[in-house]
Amino acid sequence: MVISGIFLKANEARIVTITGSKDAHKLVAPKINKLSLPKNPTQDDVDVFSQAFKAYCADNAVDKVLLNRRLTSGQRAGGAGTFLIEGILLAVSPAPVDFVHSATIRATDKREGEKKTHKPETVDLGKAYDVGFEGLN
Amino acid sequence: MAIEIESLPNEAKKALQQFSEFQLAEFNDSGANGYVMIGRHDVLRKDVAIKIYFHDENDVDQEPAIIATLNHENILKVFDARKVEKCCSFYMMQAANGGDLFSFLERYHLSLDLSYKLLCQLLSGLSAMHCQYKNLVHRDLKPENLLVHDDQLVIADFGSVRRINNATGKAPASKHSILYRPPEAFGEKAFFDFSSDVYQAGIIGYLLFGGRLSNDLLKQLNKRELKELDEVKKVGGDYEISKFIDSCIEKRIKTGKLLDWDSIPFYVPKRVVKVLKKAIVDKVNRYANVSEFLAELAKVRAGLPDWIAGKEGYELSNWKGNDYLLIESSGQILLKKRRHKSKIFRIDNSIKASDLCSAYNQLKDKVGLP
Repeated sequence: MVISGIFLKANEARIVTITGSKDAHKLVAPKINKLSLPKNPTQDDVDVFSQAFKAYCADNAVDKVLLNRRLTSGQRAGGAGTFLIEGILLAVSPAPVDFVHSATIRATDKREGEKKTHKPETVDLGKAYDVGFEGLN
Repeated sequence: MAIEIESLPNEAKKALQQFSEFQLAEFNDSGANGYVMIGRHDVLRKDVAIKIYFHDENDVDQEPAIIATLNHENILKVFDARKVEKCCSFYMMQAANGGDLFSFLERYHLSLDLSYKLLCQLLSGLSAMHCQYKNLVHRDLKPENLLVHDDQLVIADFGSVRRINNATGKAPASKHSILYRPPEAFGEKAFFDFSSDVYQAGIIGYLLFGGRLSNDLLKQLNKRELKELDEVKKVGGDYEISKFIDSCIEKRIKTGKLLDWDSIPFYVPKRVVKVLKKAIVDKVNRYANVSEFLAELAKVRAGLPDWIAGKEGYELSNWKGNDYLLIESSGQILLKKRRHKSKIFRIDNSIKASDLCSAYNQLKDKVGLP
């Protein structure tokens, strides 16, 4: 299974795609790690974002897309940018989309943290990897 | 003007006999391997095109079959396919009201926005062909093989499509349209892969954004090569002449000197040109697939100014609520300005320049263009 883990932050989708199992997996297409949507997007901006995302899924034969569950209330509630991107991804993704809660990621870190051998060093990409890791068997 | 059916080639007449509900409006025999008829389908109540093409007797008619497997808004749709004779078949497809991209580019000035959109649509259509379940490479992407319908680009002409070999990741190279052939499609080990389609899409991007590339092969030759060609003409026949011209073009392509990047209009942002250039470099440094190309294009989308070159001059539409017009008047470049969507332009005297580039640079600093 090829899993795309996506971490939404502001007006960007950070993407890490992995394939294999939790014990032995590898990164797919590491050259593409970000898709951004301009602030106050027009219909054409959304079109381009959708085309880029669909092409990414097609080229890398993505089987499943996992997104970080946005908080809807409280101090760390997601903003309008992530809300828009989440909606676009849900509407156009050619692969099934599922959500991963941050509590699930924390639990996995405690239980199977040592298996996260390919975790990127940058913070946001690391979070996208964490999200994708949840989809591996 | 009505077309006389009697004057059409026999194959076209036979195809029309099979479609009494088709009302012929236009006949085109400029294609290399067949004819195209455009008209109205009375039952479907839409304009359709019938492509008649010739093939070997035992050849599988792959073209309509390939199109039928692809379901994407930027890939031509086929409605029907039939045989006319043993070596001739036809298929019915959607008609494009903008014609092919080559004539579209000749007829219209394209805005930056539309150029960008058409290129993204081309890449989007290509991704449907390249996906793991199809593994197809087009191998003959050029403006003549792309259609424009309601400002939407549609990939057509699937005669040279091949499936990528899963083991090698390659397909045999195509010998079509030398100007659009990537460097890896020359020589004994010539091949084609996904990035080769990216290369051809990059050239189309270059043309969409206003770059110039003449289809006249002789125009690609420099003075020295033209002199050598004269010598070849004295001793050789057509084959030798064409071989010599091809070798000159091949050299240009392999050294990355085919395209004249200076011909890209001054208003195209450098970051867009940089993305295009990376699609046309040697295979090692090129985007490996269309999604890499699209992702880079998406990065430069934000704040793309909507310039268009028109008869009057160069117009920038809706930049921070204003429209700007750069025009040449008695050796001076004038800047005109208006609120977006208002009717009258007024002269803005803040910019004084004798050439377009320096006027553009002043405007760039003044209004914060990328």
